[in-house]
Amino acid sequence: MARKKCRLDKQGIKKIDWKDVEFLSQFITPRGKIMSRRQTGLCAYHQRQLARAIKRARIMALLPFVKDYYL
Amino acid sequence: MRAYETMFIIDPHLDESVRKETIDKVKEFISQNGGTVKKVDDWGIRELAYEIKKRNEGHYVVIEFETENNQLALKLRDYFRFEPNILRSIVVREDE
Repeated sequence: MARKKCRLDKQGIKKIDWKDVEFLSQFITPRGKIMSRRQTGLCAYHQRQLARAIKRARIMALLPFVKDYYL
Repeated sequence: MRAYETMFIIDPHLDESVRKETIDKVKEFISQNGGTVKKVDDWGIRELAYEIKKRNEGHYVVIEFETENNQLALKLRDYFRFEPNILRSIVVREDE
């Protein structure tokens, strides 16, 4: 089984915008954590960009550091 | 010439005129220190993901600017620190 190719490479997205909350929320878990490479299927380059973008968005209260959720 | 962008959150409880003034002061600070303001994006009031200084909402503003002065980003961060109307701010390089 071949590894799935990075979605963002396919779409030709080079730079991840840390201000685009809707885009970033695809890559956080219900708990507010950053998803792993395994879950996102991104290449190393994009995963790094993504992590940085999410961290910046968290600082500016665009995304939560932790999200409360109930079982 | 390097491109930077800054985002800051203004206290939403302030009058609209005071908030406008705060934005103008930031713009002025950038141009007085050798920067050129490229774009001002006023997001208006939106909900914060978590509480900051007892506020659940904030007035978001994004400013893109360019400068030769590599001290400007540091100065701007200091400026934000002593501006009581601003709840939170960030200054980042935009190129690469």
